[in-house]
Amino acid sequence: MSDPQTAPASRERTGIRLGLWARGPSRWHIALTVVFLALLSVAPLWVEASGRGYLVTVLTRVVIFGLAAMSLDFVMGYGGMVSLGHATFLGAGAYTAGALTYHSLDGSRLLGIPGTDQALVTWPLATVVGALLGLVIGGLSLRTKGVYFIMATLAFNQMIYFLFNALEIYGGDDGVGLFAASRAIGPLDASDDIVFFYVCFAVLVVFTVILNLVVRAPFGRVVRGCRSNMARMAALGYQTYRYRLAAFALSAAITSLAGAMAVTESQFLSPSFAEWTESGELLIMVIVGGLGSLIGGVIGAGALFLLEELSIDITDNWQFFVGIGLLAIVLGAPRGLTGTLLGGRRSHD
Amino acid sequence: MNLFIEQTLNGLQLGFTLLMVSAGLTLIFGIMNIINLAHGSLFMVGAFVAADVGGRTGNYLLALLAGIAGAAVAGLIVELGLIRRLYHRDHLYQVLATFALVLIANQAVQMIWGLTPRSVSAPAFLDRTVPVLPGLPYPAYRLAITAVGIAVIVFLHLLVERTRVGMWIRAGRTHRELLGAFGVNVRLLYTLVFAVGAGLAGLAGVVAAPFLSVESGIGDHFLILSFVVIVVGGIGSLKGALYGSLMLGLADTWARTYLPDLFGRFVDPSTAATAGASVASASIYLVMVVVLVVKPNGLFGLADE
Repeated sequence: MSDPQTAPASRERTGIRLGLWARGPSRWHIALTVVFLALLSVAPLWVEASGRGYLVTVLTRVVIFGLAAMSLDFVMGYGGMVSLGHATFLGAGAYTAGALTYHSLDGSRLLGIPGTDQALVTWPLATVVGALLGLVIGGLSLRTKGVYFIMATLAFNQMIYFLFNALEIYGGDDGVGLFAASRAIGPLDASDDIVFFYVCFAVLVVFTVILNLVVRAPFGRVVRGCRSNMARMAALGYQTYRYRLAAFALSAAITSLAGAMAVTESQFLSPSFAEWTESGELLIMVIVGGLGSLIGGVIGAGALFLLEELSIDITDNWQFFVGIGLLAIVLGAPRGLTGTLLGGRRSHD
Repeated sequence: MNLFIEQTLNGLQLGFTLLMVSAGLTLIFGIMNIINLAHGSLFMVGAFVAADVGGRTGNYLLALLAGIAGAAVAGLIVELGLIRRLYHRDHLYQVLATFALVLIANQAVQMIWGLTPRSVSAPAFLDRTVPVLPGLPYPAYRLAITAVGIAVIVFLHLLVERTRVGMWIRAGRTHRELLGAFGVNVRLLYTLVFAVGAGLAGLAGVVAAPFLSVESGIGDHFLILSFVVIVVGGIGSLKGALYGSLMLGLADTWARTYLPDLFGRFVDPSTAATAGASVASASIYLVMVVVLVVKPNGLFGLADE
C-alpha cells in the first residue's frame, strides 16, 4: 500500500486494474470450468442419494444466480464496466416472466396479450426485454465513466425497484405468489425439482460456452481492449462506445433470462429481485469466484449459497459474516477463489 | 397557491436533508477519490444513536449531538481501520469493501437495537406550526431543517473557500503530492474530512428520523439519492451538491403533488393515481437521465477526470 502523499493526483480510470487479468480463457480456466460444471451436474444426484433432497433447489439457485453473476463478470472482468445495477435486469426478467404467468393464471390480458406460463415463451421474451433495457440504461450510463458509471447504474437500479414496488397489480412491495403456475418447458413438465435443475443447468452450459467463445472472438477482444486502454482502442478506429454498449446489453439480456428462470423456480414474484443489495450480492459472487474467469461467477454463487445454507441454522445474522468474509477477501485475497486455485498461472499484461 | 408554497417548502426541506448527506459524500469523493457505499450507514448510525439517546433522556438536543458524534466517531473508526487501505485500490474494491460495511452495519444495528423499528420525535419546542403566510400554517420543525441545511452549506462553503484547511482540501483535489511536499499531513486531512462528512450524514439521519421509522437499512435510500445528486451536480463540487439536492428535492415533491392530478385530466382517476405515483417515484431519476444526456459530467462537475 503506497502512501497517499506519493499517489498520482488523478489516475487514468478508464478501466479497472487488477492482479488477475483474464486475457481470455486460458487452458487452465477451461479445465477448471469443465471440472466445476461436471461436479455441479452430479451434485443433485449426490444430495438426493445422501438424503438431503431439499438442497436440490439450493443447487438450482446456484445455477441461476451463477448465470447472472457470470454475465456480470463478462462486463466487469472483461469489459471493465463496474455495474452496481445488475439486479435491474434480474428484476426485469422476473417481472416479464412473472407478469405473463400471473395473467395466464387469472385469465386476464397484459397490454392486450394473453398471459402464459410456458417457459419457452416467457424466458426468451425476458431475454429480449433485458437486452432492450440494457441498451437504454447502458446507453445512458456509458456516457459517464469510472465512479459515475457505478453511481448511475445503481441509481437506475433504484428507479426500477421503485417502479416494481408501485405495481399494485402484482402485489406492490409484497409481491405475489404464482404457485398454481406450471413449470412447462415446451412439452416437458419440469415441476420435479431435479428435472428443473437440469433444464437450468443446460441453459447455464449453453451460455458458458457462448460467453467463452465471445470473449475470444474479435468482438470480445475489442471489448477487452477497451478495458485495458480505451484511448488506444479509439485511436485504432474502434467505436468503443458501441462495443461496450453491445457487451453491456448482452450481459443484461443474460441476467434478465436468469431473473425469469429465478421466478419460475421460486414461483414468487416480488421487487426483492431488483433490490440494490442484490446487485451487490452479484458483485460479491463475481469477486469471491474470481473476476475475469466467467465460471468464477458460478463458483462464487455456490460459495455464497453454501455459506448461507450452513450458517442459517447457527445464526440469523449470516450477512454479518458475509460482510466480514468479504472484507477479508478484498484485503487479503483479491484474486478470488479461481485466482487462488490457479495460483501463479495468472497472465501478465 | 398555498398548496404550491407548502409543497415547495417541503421540497426545499427534502433537498436540504439530501444536501447534508451528499455534501459530505462529494467532499470525500472530490479529495480522496473514493466511493463510499457506507455513507448511508453513517446516516443510519446517526438516526439510531439519536433514537437511543432521545429515548433514554427525552432531550432532543442531546440526541442530536449524540447522533452527530456517534456517526463522526463511526466514520473515524471506519476511515482509520479500512478506508485508508482503499485509497489506492480500484473503485471496484472500494465498492466491495464498503458494501461489506453496509452488510455488517445493517446487521450490527439489529444485533444492538433489535428488530423493532424505533422512532425519534421532533423536539417539543418545534412541534407546532408557524404561519409562513397569513392563513398558511407550516410545521416549524420542517422550517428548522431547512435552516440547518442552509447553515451547513454556509459552514462548508466558508470551510472550503475561506480557511487554511479548505485551501488544503482544494489543493488536495488536484495536487496531492505537492500538498504533502509542503508539509501538510495529508493522512490527517483525509481522516478529518471523512469525519466531517460522517458527522453530516449523522446529522441528516437525526433530522430526518422523525419522518421515518428508524430501522436497519434506512440510510441506503439516502445514499442512492446522494449518488443521483452527485451525478446531476457533478462530482467534488459543493455548488453541484447544493443545486443537485435542491433540484431533486423539489422535483420529487412537486411530481408527487401534481402528477396524479395532471394525469387525472387524461385518464380515469384510479389509473391516474397509480401512473402518477409511479412516474413521480421515478421523477428524480428522470432528472438524472436528462442531465446524463445533456451534460454527462454533471451540471457543475470539476474538470473532466
